[in-house]
Amino acid sequence: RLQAAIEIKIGSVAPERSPWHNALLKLARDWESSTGGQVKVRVYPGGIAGSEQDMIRKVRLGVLQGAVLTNMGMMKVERSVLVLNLPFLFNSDEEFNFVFQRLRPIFETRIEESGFKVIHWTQSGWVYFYSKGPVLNPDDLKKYKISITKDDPDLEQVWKKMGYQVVPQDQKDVLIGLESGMVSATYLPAVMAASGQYFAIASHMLAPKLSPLVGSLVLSRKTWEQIPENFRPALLEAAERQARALAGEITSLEEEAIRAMKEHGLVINSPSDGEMAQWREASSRAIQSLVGRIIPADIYEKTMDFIREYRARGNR
Amino acid sequence: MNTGPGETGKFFRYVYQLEDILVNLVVLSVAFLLCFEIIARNFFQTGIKNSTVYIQHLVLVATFLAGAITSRQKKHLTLAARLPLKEPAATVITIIVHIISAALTFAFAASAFSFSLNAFSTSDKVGFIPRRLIGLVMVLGFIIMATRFITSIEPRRKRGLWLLVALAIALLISTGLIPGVIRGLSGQEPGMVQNLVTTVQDLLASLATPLIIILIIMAFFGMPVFVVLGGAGLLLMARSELPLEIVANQAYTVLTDYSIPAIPLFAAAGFFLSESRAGTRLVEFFRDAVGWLPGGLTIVTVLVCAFFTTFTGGSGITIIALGGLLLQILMQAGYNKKFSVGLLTSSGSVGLLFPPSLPIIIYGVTAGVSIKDMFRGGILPGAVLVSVTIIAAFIFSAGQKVEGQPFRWKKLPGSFRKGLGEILLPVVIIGLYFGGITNLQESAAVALVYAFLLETFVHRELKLKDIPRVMTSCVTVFGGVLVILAVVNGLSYYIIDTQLPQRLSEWLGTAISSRYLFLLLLNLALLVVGCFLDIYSAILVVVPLIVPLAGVFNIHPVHLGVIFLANLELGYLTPPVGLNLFLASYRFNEPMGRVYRDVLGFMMLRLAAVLLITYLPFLATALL
Ligand code: NA
Ligand code: NA
Repeated sequence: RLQAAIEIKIGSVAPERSPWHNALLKLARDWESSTGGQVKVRVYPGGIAGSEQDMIRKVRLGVLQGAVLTNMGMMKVERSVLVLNLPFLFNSDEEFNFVFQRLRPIFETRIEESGFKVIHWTQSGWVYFYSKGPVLNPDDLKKYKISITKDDPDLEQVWKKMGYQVVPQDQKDVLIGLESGMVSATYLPAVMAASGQYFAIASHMLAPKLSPLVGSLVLSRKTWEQIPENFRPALLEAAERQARALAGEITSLEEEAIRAMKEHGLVINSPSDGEMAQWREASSRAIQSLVGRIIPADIYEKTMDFIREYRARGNR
Repeated sequence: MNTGPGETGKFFRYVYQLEDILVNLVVLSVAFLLCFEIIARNFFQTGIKNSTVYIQHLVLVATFLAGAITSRQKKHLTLAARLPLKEPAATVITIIVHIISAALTFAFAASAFSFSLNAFSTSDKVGFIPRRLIGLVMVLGFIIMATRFITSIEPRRKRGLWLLVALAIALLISTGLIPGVIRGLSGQEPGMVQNLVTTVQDLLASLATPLIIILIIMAFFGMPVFVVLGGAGLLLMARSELPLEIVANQAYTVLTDYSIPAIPLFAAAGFFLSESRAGTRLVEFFRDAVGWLPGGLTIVTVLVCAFFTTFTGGSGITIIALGGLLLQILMQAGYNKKFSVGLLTSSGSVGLLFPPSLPIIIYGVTAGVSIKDMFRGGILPGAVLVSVTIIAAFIFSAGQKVEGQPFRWKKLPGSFRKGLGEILLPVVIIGLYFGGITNLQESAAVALVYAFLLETFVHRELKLKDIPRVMTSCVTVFGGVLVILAVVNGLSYYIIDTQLPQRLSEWLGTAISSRYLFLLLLNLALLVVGCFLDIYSAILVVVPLIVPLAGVFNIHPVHLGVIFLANLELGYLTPPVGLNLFLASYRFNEPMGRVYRDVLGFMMLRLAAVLLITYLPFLATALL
């Protein structure tokens, strides 16, 4: 019989009709047309295929063949990507891109060893701090109860050791937590703070970017290897194209979101240079307790080398 | 259960005691962990490292222990009382039902085994325990349940043979799992075996449909609901050649969901209340306070349920936590059981539309609608549902000899003082929850500890040695419910995988032009959804599909949200499948058939209310 089409089911937590979902649908069409229908893609958006941890299990079991993951999800596959989420490490899109392009091959090799093939990475905006009152320096933040992601006990310990009050929460509890007063601060991508109306309750935003929002599309390595070799370069190229388009789209969406939130009462607090130094100092103390235990030391050293290299070129 | 004389009998009695003690320890340690967490967080700003993950997995362990105990006591929920059959047909059919139940449950165990081997990386741990090992709890739990289907076959002769038959059928059904098991154990792809597996899979795929029909028939001969629905899911997956590990994966996913610990904890708290004289105290207080009003107690029942559901999220916890107590109050006042069960079952989710119910919040986030608007929009429709339920109560209690009470205002302070502990319980729990001091599961833990301390040390109606007995009696309630939730989730995922809901919504968008027809179809579709998906899954799965359609038909997003939640709520009451119906059958110890009958009148009036909410959009939009 004729060679059967390879069916690829991809799960994503991005809501239907969101830019992330639309980009994935476009990619699905590109892949089907560039393989003459030999690769068929079915998309399960909006978390209907499960949370990120659940989708990772489903890819391992062959229920799904691929998943769109945020960096928090990817951390469950390969711990070292956590280095990208370290607070106040990167200053700009350009700096992040410079460092990331150099780390990328290292991540991808390790992720492949865990049975996943990275198809593309996306950097879609940044994560910021939101709080119910003004926060300008690390001590201000100690007055607030911070909602943090619930499935990372190691990170939770780091917060606590630094003297912060944290409440690990499911993402769907954060809003009611803010409303009821169980928590009074959290960190979120700006686009989400706007669309989920978090900013209406936590109406203060710390101006410096906390960390980039990194995402990726992965397939199970087994599925990737089933795809005839001659198709693969075109598939990767199409993915790269979609990732670039998405990054551009999200950057303008983020600007728009921040502008709209400001119009509806969001207060943006800019720390002084001295206060910014305090943030970096606090963050580097936190990082010291993570490196070697949670973040592999070699990855951290390499990251710092690349940042120094970028800044030595006269960039800021 | 008759375990027979001699050493084996003694051995099994020890095993049973061990099971009972273990499940008690697990549930109590969840409660105490959560209480420590509250104290540590609020007073010392620390909290227990990793407590969320520990609690999730303790609840998983509790569920499978409770499931095993439920099997031992033969209390797994069945669809209806066994159809009357003459001997020897009755015995033969019963044996067949038991063998097939055992076979499917062994297949669930096989699914859990391959799942444990393949779903986690070896380094994935809960504390110091590898997740793979925790997966084996599911395997063991299903094996015990399966074995107990065989050991409860009478006559005892040939049980060995029946076990072999069950295992053979299980092997056939779970053939698709063999490659996964080989891969998981050896780290290598299955070689020669693969061809054999494919052949058997093809055979099974063609047999799946008739087998599902057999399962549905067996449901009417006493096959437990969890076996019927879980088995149907498994066979549908086999027919589509999907990985059978889905069953175990979805069970793991739903049981480790953050809201699940609240179920056993609230259940246990409710049992502490119902095993003491708390009910009597509350009856006295309510009688003295509002019993003199016509229908006073039914009003109180509906309002208390609405109040409670608002913070438990309408997942039926109300029935478990308050059902027993309210049933006692109603029946002592002279209402008959048919009416009381009907009223309580239909009141079990009546508060869903009032702020700050969690489903409203999740709906708002998922649909991208302002949550404050959703809160405002839910108030009038919520009031309609409550009023209609109260009106229904008046209609259906007409003619019952309920003693009219004189207003004994002099007795009120005394009965208030006596019942103060119980009256304060919801006040404390709601205060902690809305005050932002505790989350849902912690609130449930406080409820359990509060009820325990109140009845044991304040009222001294329970002794410490009673605790295992009280706990064990609630185990079959939450065990049965959670096992159903767990395996039905596999069936739900099968439906998601087919993309049927997505295609249906696309088709509707093109096929229909009338707004009213669309709303009617939406009502029907959501009733069906309410049969299969719990409220949170339903929101996640269905809302993204209908939101764009609402745009096409020009329906206000807040109105759509209200329709959605009110309909699902009704779906939980609509036979043959509905969460509230299952819970009521358990809690009130009535066969499903009778619960259907009890609830029918209430359901019809609620249907009218839902149609009212659907076709009078201003109810939802007036307060915006
Ligand atoms: Na639920
Ligand atoms: Na139903």
